[in-house]
Amino acid sequence: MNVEVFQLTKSFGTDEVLKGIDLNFQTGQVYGLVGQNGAGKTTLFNCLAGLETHGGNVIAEGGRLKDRLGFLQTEPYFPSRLTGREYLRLFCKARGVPDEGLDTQNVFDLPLDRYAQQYSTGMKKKLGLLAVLLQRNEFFILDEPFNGVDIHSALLITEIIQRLKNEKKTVLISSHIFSTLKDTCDIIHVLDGGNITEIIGKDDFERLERDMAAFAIGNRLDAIRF
Amino acid sequence: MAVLPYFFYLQAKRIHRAIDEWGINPWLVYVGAPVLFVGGSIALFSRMVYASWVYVGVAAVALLQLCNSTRLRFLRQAFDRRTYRRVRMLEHTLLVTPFLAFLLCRGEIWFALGLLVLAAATIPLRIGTARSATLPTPFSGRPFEFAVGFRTSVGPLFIAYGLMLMGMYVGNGYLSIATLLLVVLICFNYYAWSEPLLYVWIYRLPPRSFLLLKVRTAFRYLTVMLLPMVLVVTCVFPDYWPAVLAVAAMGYGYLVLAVLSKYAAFPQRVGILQGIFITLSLVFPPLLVISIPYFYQQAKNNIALIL
Repeated sequence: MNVEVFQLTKSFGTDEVLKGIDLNFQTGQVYGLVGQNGAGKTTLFNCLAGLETHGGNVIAEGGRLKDRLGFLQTEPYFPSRLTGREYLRLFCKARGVPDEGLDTQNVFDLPLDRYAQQYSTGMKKKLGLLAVLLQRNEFFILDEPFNGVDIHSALLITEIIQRLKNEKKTVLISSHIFSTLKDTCDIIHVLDGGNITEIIGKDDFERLERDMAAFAIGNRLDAIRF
Repeated sequence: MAVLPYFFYLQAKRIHRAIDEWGINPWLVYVGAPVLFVGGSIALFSRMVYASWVYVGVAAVALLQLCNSTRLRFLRQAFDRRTYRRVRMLEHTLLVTPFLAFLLCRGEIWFALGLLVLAAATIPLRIGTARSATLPTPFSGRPFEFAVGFRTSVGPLFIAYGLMLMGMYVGNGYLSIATLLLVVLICFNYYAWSEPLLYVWIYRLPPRSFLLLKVRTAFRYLTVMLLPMVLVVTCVFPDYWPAVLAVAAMGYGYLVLAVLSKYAAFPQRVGILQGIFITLSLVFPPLLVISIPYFYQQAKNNIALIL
């Protein structure tokens, strides 16, 4: 599913967070989004999903994006005393997809009959991801999908993203672990100051990583005595 | 500043900020709270026979608030063992001091001593560490309001069922019927809080279908809760069947009102004016004929913005 974003703007009061974002997502591609903390990545995701009102347009090929979008939030919320299984069931029913065979599809070996709120950070993330995968969406927004997950699960998530790409799904990921973006993305967008400042293809990922390291580290650490 | 005074200085600052955020002048609270405490204590002791027990009980509940495991884990991480113990000891002492002072003023030496022992005994206590076992419910098929609500309200539901049985045992039909209403109100409360936006956003349904789905689920599960009670009460008190039916019908009306009023305000909580309208509808059920269509329209328009 191709999705085009035209002049997307978002302000909170006088604080202009997104200043006219133009993006073009093509079917079967994996896109990365990088930016400093507070750059507006999560706000952009919320706007794309329609969870925030915004200026500009988001146009999805073949109908509304929302109905075919799987959105994994940075910190998925789970009400108290809701089991993992009930959470998955809710997400399936909401999209009208069958909710049978949850145990078979539980690729992360999550304890589905325990309360989701008692899961560890990584387990919560995996449950959130599994829920949006079971919904059989066409477009995925994964906000920090590798946050808190163990190394085996991180490898599994990388493979899941690859499989989604093979199935001609479109994926948009943010991650603060650059190697995960390098492994999964075809194109990386750099969000800075409310604008997309760079759109970088696979060939330039090494250069982007070097630039980011130089910017992030520089001579800042000279100020601390180790 | 040394670590201990700095810790308590920070706590005072946090309290000050919290009061400030309520929009109240903190000085009003600093002056008013002790006055209220003393006034409340005097009122309690002048009106109750077992006031000392209640007083110690209130202090115990306050002490337990300081024993939250997450909070204690933070303190353990932040401080070394010795400082941690001193912080805990001081916290408990500071908290019980006003209660102790009042008990001593009234000459309740034994209760004051008991409270002191309680304060010391609760220092090592940690609440909320155990991983609670999952309570099975018949409502897992269509999550989540009834599944979550049932697990939260299992105690009050037991009480309601117990009262119904008691009513049957003593031959008091009205008591048994009143428990039906109690169960309805417990279920009504399942819709009292708003889930995050995403939990509505995920639905691929138009607003009308979404609301109908929610109402249908509520009806189905209220029936699961209510039907056994209705049957038992009707069998035991056959003369009361019109009252039982009327209460059950009213219950379904109340639940529709709960669902619709929640989504009329979603994701915010119900406002004061809407709250008054809901209360009036609960007190005077014929008003449901107006309030249900009103909240349905509001909910439909409101949910359309999300779906």
